[in-house]
Amino acid sequence: MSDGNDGNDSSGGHRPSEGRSSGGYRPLLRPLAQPKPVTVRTDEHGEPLYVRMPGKTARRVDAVRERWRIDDEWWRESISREYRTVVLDDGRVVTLYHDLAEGSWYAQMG
Amino acid sequence: MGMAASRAQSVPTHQGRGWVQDKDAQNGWTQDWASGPGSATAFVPAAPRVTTGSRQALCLWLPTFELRLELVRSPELDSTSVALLSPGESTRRTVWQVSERAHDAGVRPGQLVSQAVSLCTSLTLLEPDPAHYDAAMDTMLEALGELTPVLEPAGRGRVFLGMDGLGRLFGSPPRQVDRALRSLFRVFPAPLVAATRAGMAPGKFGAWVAATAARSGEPVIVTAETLARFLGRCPVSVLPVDPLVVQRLERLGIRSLGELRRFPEPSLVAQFGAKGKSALAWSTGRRIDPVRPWHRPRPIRVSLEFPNPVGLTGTLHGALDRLVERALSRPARRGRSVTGVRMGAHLEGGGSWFVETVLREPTAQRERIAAPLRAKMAIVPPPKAVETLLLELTHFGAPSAQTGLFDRKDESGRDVGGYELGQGEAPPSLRDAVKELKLRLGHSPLYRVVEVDPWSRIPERRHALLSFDP
Repeated sequence: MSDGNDGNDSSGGHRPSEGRSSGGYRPLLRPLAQPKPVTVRTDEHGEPLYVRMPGKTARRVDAVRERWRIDDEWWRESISREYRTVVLDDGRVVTLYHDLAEGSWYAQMG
Repeated sequence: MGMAASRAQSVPTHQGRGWVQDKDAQNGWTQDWASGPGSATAFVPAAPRVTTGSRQALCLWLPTFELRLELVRSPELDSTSVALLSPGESTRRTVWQVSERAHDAGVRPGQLVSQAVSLCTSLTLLEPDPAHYDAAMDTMLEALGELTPVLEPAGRGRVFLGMDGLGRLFGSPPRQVDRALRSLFRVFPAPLVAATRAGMAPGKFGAWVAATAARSGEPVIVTAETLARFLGRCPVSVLPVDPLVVQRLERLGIRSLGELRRFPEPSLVAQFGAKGKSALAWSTGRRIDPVRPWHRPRPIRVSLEFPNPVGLTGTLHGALDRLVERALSRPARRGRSVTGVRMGAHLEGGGSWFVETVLREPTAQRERIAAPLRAKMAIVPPPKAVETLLLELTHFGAPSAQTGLFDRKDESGRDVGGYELGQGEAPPSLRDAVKELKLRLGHSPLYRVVEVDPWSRIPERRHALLSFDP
């Protein structure tokens, strides 16, 4: 059993484009589908059992529909994520990923 | 104040710039950015209708301006062998400017990187940062603009100041030069200003030659009475003419301007055409090019910062389209067509990149502005991933009374007969609504979804919200 974080860094290292001055008019780009940190309780195989969104009660994972993995950008700040689409006990379908570099869990739209 | 005409030939610029040394920077991209705005036209005669200008010229010249800026930025490199790479991306990168130490090791501007490294194994190679250099040049011009309103930049690190009538304000010519250098001390670190060479003479040619003959801290001041004598001792290589003309003169045994002016004008015209006539006029000191006040264009600047550095051409093209739309919709552009545009980027890990184009026809259409920039980008792509994309509308056509031709359609949109909206257009009702929201909230709370990197495997990189402010 292991608990994921309900961490402080909601962006998983990818911040929206604010705070740099480059002169002139600057339309802001705000990323969509930013990952949000969640707390996940897993079984001995690392599969999610319960998911708790920030400020919400924990929900049991009824089923894992799909899973895939992304390993990218090894030349920069390596990204290694294990995604799962899970069905919660209230019927909601949520996409979670386990950040293998940090060990944290995130929920993500899109 | 000494007159060291014989030194003019041996001024070590260590860069592919200037009239004599600039053989490899005469073509293509390097020339555009190495010389900067105005340098190519510094010695082109003014149009007859132009009456403003200053006969008395002061030339301030900072050789290897860009490299010195890099050394100021990274002082730890000062004691090492450093070379600045030529701008642009190529499999055969060449050296643009070299430090004294690298020069001593045999590294020369124009050499291939592989040659340079084999000559000096401890050589530190630096990527150029044109945005930084341009900003420093702007700072220089602003500081000197407080001294005289007649200011004419001639490439990065070289500027002519019109000094007519400043004697009563600042005193004798040496005091005027001192005053100009002190203006630079206010904005630049001492090592940078200390390397500045100053030359004062009637006309830009005399001032430039005097600056090349000057040493750091020892300006050369030439009066109208001594100009001809001063120029007579200078080598023909100081002439701002085609290097081939200089080569031919040297092959004919004509080494100095004094030797050149012994020839009658018809003989020089017969050999070199109009260039021969100009060369003679310069060498005798008869031709005085006044310093022309520089018209400082106010570009329209827009920029787009990516959440993550972007290297995909398609994404950059999409971002460029958005920026062109933004720039065209700025109130300052209304009623004017665009004739010159510049695109740049802040790169991942530092450095910058720029391309510039002059449009064939004045236009205010997005595609006609973006297409030549895309073509330039294909030839000289950003060498690294882009953090921020920048766009500047630099030159404009004459104001047009028919603003409706260039503006977004006022009578288009869903509420006007069901016409389809063109790309980038917003219906008037939406624009009004945004205006009201901005009045109430101070900013537009509306956003538009744009593709950033639609094929990215990382979901948060695919799309983004762009502030919507038509």
